[in-house]
Amino acid sequence: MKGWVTQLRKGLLEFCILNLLAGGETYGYELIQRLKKIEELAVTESTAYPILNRLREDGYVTVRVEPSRDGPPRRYYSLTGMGKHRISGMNAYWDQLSNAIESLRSAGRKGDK
Amino acid sequence: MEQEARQTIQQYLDNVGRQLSSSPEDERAEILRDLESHIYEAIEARTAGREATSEDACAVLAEMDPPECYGRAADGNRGSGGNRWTMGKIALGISIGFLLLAVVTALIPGAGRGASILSLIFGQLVALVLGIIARRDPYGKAAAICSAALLLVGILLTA
Repeated sequence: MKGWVTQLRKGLLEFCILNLLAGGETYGYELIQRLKKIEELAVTESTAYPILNRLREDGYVTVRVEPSRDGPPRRYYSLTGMGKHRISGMNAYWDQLSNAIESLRSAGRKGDK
Repeated sequence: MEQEARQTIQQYLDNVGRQLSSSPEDERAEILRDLESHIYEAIEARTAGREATSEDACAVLAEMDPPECYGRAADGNRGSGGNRWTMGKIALGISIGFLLLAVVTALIPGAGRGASILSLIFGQLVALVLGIIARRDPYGKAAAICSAALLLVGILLTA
């Protein structure tokens, strides 16, 4: 069960990051804080930033750097055109998949009765 | 922010950097920039305008993953983006393979020097293109450098 949950979380984290960024430009700290509110995802900095970096390398996410008063520049993330296309495809697939799984589960529940 | 707080943050970042030593250089630099920005944002949210102390930095860092986690996470994450890594290895393989083929061809009596040089140039050209595409991973970078050098050797040999 534990291994299955870990694999599921890993895949879902990319999906959640892209969906969060679909809502608009966000800086790293804010992004992580919002993801941390979804307890089931168990997001930490060490899991989220490597994924964000990979998404940037793959061209789905872009980074805008803005100077800050005290400390390093603030880094804002947003979706590229490719990222928007990817998340719309992922969302469509998710809807189909969750509907199909829900049908299976409700058939299973009827069988239990 | 107090100097001691900055040193505490830098120490944490240095430790994370060491954990990411097997990652490509630009990937490591990006993750460290992200983390540095994250830490300063977290401290700012905690201090709300007052000067940040070393205790603030320690408290924020204590809530974050220990540096050891970053190496494991980056390795695991790289697994899903493995195409570039595979391409880098293929490029290096082609470069070495065609070098060996050129050497063997040169040693076969009657095969001729021209065939040897031609196979060297062709193989290194292919490896160079693939190496440039996969330049972000160490294998790709090595393939690009090796094949460029061998290509130059091949061109010089034709002259």
